[in-house]
Amino acid sequence: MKGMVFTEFLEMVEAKFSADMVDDIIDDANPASGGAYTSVGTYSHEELVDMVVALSNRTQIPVPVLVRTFGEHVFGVFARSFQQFFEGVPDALTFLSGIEDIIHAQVIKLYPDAQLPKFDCLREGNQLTMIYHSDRHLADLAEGLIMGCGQHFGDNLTIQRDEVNELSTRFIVTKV
Amino acid sequence: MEAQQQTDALTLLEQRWQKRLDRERAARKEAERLLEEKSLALYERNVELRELASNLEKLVDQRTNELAVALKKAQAATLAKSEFLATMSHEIRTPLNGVLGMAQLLFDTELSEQQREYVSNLKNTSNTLLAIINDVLDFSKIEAGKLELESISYDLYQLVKEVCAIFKLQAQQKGLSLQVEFNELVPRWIVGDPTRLRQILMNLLSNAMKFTESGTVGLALMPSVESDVLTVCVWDTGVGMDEKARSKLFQAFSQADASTTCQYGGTGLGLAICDRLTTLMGGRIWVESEQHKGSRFYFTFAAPRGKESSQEIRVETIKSLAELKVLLVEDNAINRLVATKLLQKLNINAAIAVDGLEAVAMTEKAAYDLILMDMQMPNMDGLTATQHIRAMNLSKRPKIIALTANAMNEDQERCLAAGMDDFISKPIHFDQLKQTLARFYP
Ligand code: HEM
Repeated sequence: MKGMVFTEFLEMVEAKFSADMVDDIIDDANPASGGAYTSVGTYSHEELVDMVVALSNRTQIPVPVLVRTFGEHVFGVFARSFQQFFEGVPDALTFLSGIEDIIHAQVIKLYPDAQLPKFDCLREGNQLTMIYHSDRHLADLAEGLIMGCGQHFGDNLTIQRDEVNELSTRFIVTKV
Repeated sequence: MEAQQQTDALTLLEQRWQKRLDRERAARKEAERLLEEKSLALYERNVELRELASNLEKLVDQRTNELAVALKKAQAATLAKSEFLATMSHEIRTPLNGVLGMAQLLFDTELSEQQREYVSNLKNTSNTLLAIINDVLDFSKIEAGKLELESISYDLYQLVKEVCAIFKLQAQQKGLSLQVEFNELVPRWIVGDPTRLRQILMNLLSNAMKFTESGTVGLALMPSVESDVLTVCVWDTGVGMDEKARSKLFQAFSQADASTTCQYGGTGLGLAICDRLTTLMGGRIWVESEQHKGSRFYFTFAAPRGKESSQEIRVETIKSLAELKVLLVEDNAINRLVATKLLQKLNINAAIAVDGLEAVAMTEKAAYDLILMDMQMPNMDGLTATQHIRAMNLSKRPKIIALTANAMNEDQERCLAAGMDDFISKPIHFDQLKQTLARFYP
């Protein structure tokens, strides 16, 4: 997984909890890479999972909530650093519909070694069905990103989520 | 105790900061390492690309050289082929002319009906063979780049008239009508090569005649969108052809299909020659055709406006009229005597033919500068004889002047159409004869 995700995560932990918490969860997780993350590096996504679990243990906040929160947060970061993806996009559902063919398609050009999920999208008026496929089990992250996207555009989104199978999760996103 | 606690807390804090510092330093070093790694990878890719480019360049050079060598070889082979063909054709043509001449002489001796037929066949086949060889010779000359076009000012109307006169007879015999259309914007005098234009027209018209059983064969001249370029259309209501036949039409040694050769004869070179000639003349040739409906051959050629020269373009340089080889064609003995005498006054000793048939035979044997042609004669009249003479492949084009009893406009028209150059009305007056000759031989 791209180092950018790790540095953003640790920055969020520092902002929402404390710098000490960053030290602690790195100590707890004891990552193979040593924990000195840089945004241009690439690390095993399991290290991120371990740190999230450590954070959950220390804060008593469930892992899914933490991952979702991170998703919400990181979307804001993306929106700032990838402004070109937002040009001419009117609302959240339109942006989300283009995740596979436009956004991640550009991302893979910038980071050829990125491991991206696959989304099947179907837009029907104010409703967007997105089926997430990935063996990294980051559906919570996806949900957080979707929520972050709604906030960014100022759209009120409801998300209905159900597991299709081990590797796939269906999100029905509705704009109210 | 309290102091000890404080020291412990401070040590702990210090350890924490130290660790954080170490982590940040490690992160920076890691980032720098990654950057160096990327720079190195980039450098290596650049080297690879440069090598690839230079290899590619070498490869391209090598291929280019190979191709240049192959091209040279191919060109040399083509040249050798063309030269061989040209020499061969020339070698064949010389004895063939002998055969033709002998056949003609034999034809003029006393022969039985059967012998006459044999000799006539001999003549016809020899003529066909000669035509084929001429085609091959022309074509190989063009292919070898040895054909040079003339660039003189000539009378396009006259040329077209002469060509059509030749085909008029053939059209009549086949029951076809021959239409000629001259757009008024087409200039009369143009600069170019009249011999080659005539060759193209003859070729297309004889094809049109050959492949048309009934209806019309037409010739139209019109201006083009480009200035100084003319478009000619030769059309017919004949058998036509399909797409497949059209596509190979202008290639050498190809006819619509092999069976065409059997049915209609020909070398399959005629159109290839036309194609090369139009290219040489700064134009192109193409065809529109539909099976059973007919064909339309179009060609364009550069035709800048020429200077009008009175009657004839070629200014002959002769010292005196005595040098002229003149043939007088006249059936009436008295008229013949008169004309001979008048010519003698101009120092001209004319050869005599008593009718058109004899005139044609004599022109085949000897090259005349000038033919004075009576119109009405037994066996063959003057118009027909003129058409025959104009259809011959003569090295020198004789001037033909009609001797006509009635100087009606229509008559004059017919003379010119048949390929005559001028006319003198009968009875012949010395002054008029002198003036007319002076126009041609100033
Ligand atoms: C400007 C918008 C976005 C950018 C620049 C972006 C970029 C990225 C990047 C760089 C990764 C990391 C890949 C790796 O480390 O190998 C990633 C992963 C991911 N992205 Fe996005 N993304 C964007 C929007 C979204 C949105 C709106 C969603 C959700 C619908 C989404 C869902 C995910 C998920 C779930 C992953 C984790 C990998 C996985 O599950 O296999 N992304 N994205």
